[in-house]
Amino acid sequence: MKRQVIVVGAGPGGSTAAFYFAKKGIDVLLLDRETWPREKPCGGTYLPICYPMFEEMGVLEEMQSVAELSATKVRLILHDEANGEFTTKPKLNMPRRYGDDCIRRSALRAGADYMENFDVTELIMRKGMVKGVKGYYHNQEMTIEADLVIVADGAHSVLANQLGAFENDPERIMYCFRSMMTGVEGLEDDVIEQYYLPDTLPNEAHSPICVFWLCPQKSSVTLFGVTITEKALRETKLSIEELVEVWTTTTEFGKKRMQNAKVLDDYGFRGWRLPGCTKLHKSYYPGAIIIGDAISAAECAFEYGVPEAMFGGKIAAEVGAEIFAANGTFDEETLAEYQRRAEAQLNPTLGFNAIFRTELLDHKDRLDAFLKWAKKQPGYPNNDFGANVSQFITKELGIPLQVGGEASMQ
Amino acid sequence: MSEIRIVPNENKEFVLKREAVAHIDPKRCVNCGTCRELCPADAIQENQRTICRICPGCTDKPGMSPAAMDAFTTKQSCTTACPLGISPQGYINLVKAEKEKEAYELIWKKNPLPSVCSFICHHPCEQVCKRGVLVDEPISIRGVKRYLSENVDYKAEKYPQNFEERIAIIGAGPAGLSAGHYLSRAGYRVTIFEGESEAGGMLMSGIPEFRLDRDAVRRDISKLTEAGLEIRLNQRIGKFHLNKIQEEFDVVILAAGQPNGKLLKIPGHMNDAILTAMQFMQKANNDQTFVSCPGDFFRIKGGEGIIIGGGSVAMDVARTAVRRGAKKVTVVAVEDYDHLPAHAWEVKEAEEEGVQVLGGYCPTEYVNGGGGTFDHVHFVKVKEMIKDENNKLQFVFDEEDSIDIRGDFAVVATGQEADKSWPESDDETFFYAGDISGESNCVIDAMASGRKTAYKVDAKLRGRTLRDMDVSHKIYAAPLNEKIYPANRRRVFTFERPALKPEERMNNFEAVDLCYTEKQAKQEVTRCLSCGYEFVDVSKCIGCGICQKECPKGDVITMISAEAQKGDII
Repeated sequence: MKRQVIVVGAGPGGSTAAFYFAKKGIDVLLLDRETWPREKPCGGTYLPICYPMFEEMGVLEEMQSVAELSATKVRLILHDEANGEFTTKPKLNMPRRYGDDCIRRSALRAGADYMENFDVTELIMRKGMVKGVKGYYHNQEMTIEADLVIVADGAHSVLANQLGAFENDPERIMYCFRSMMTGVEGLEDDVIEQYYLPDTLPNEAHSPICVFWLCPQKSSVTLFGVTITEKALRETKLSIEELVEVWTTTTEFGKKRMQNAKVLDDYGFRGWRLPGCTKLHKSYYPGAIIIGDAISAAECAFEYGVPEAMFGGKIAAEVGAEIFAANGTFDEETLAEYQRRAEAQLNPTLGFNAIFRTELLDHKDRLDAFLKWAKKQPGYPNNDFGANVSQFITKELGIPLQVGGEASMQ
Repeated sequence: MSEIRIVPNENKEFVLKREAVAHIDPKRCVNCGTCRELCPADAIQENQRTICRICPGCTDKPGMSPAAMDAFTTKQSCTTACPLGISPQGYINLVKAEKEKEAYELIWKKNPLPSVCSFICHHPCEQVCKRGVLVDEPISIRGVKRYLSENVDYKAEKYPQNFEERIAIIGAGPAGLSAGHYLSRAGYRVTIFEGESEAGGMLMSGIPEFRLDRDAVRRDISKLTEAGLEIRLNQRIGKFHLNKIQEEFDVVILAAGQPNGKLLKIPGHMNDAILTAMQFMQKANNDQTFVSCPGDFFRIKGGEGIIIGGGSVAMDVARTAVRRGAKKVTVVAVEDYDHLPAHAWEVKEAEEEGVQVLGGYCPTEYVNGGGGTFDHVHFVKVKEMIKDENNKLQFVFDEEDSIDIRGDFAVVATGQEADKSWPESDDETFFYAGDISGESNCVIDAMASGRKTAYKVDAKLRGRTLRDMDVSHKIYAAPLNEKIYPANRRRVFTFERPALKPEERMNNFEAVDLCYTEKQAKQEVTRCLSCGYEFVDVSKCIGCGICQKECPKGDVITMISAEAQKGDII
């Protein structure tokens, strides 16, 4: 059987692509290896920049109804002292199990075909072009051909690996861990606290290295998490559980907050890998477009991962539909249009992750200035934090925001 | 292929000029080791990828610190675990690439008895499989080998005739066949002398049929004889004949095994109802009606049996007795139940068939033997086992804890002995191989010993160094960008290894392990994480291209221009 489009992976990115393809009347098949709805430990925040897409999908109201309204303030804590807080626009907070499923179901409503428990293991390649996918459906080997394959199989992408686009740089790969805690003390109900540890751990590159965060939930439960680059974790020579132990027993804030805290047993302690980049890599290959975490297009620490994957999917669907309307050949030339549009959309958010840390977090005075400046901006407190950061750095500090500039990491 | 020229440099030293170097695609390489072993410049090494175990919750196993995770990379691999030096990753992935014939050949080159091993090898490779240790369950390597041995119609190439030296091997058991195979492959003229009417040695007489299908042995041996290995049957070699053979042949290898059982010399052991494991198995394997002794000294059918010993042989004997109709079978070992010498799965299968296994008791007397029989055996609890200065085991008993077990017959399975009357090996023209050399106590080790002896002989005759004898090789850690993430591997719905159920197997001698269907085998091979790959050290490569020519997969190695190679491209 041959399809027009196959989307591999029914996460937010893949489902968005399938939704927009289906909406344009293109024959699209969405594949996922899980049984949905599926649990995922990471993320759980859907940023306001996605709301227009949610409205088009008709899921905004549903998502707002299941969301746990949580903290609206973020307090940054460096060197064990509170450095200030800023307020953010309310975000939708909910387990990925619900949020991602809303997006997936919208794709099915729009008319996308869907198969779950389909484990795609390989792309079919002929004459340097992707011609379809090969995989196992309920353990039966199966191949499906298609004109275009959207690769959205996530951070451990098998298919991006096959195409040679798999990112594995220990400086950029981040590991995130999360658990649900009870008994966290001294935390305000509407404040997320982020603890940066630039001094306690070796940090030559001054790159994002280690963040502990606490996020209060509706009940007496607190979400606790750690984000650390693989390079930094290697330097600590600790496993992640040991690292948490060090933080809770040696740092002032760690002791204050966590001395009576307990991990909720049924949630446990889970980790995942986040590929990060500061600039969109080449994300197309004749016959295929790679979106989201699979191409490392995920800003790791400011919750832009889901929006970036969704924008990637949306743009892929727009460009794909245009090519189907024109001549239907997905070669280097026609797909380059995807790269142009995706870079314009994604590179600013991918870039400010690095620059926020190098130009703000590592300079205490600048950070103070930024927090004061942000309060005076029109629209505060509902401004987009990322946009504020890039505006402050470029306009107020006069540092060029090298969109995707690798230099900003060094 | 590139041209190799030898040109003198300014100092009149000769350097090898190369125009191309080999490049191995790590994604396509299946790590079979063929190129590494052939490389004349030792330019190829095996790299092992790190398996990411940082995140807790990614698999069922706990998270690790990066240092502990990295340390595991070069600690173990299936490629170094095989006593015969075969790369399981190689043939598993050749099956995945639909190259079954090449996969079989990869095994056959080093293992003359693939079908036999697919039944009874204790698969040290599976015990170190990183998927098993770090992720979930190991790949069923032996199961895939069984699938290959039953489904590939492999026609072995004739052995070459390179040398004039004639070599005689006494004993066509695993060690003798293995030595013969290796020497024949090197090009010697080999003749094997076998005392029985069929080749195979212990494979035919010692191991019960429900563990090893006799057709599998015959299939392997017929491939060897088709390839040109001469096996003379019914030629029992005595001391007189040995002299004659030594005159006729340049080298004689003795691989006569350890055919003699041992009886425990405790009170009451002069008893007709006590057999050695060897006597019991030979009778049970060769005489399908063996249910009692002609003089009615003992009966198996409906009787109660006591098996003394805790190794694989004891389990084999017990399970054979069950199949011969014994009412109750008890295995008693001096070792603790948790530290039995038998493999855990053997104990499990025996217990499934109703065998009672007791650990930690030593027999001290066969009691009330009247008319050539005994009534029960007296066992005493072993508190401690100490090795004395002669390396002999001494027991410390707990006299207060003793048991009496009633029995109609007893089988002693506490090891075998070689015929001690053979002349000693001189390592010049008379060599030992296999069990008789004391180097092995299972089939795969006997084959490894045979191969080692073959290398020794080759080294002696050709004046070569013994470098090749060292079948082990070092493994190196691959760069971190080659790291494997278990999360992106295919999730396979696990299925139980196919085997007969206890009730289906207890009253017959059908092989217990069943062969994978093609679908199951194909599914199993997709679980391999492909930890290893071969890597070319560009500075050493001489560009001869033999690796590219001999690569069994075919699409792995390319010869690229030496000038373009700056060392960091690979």
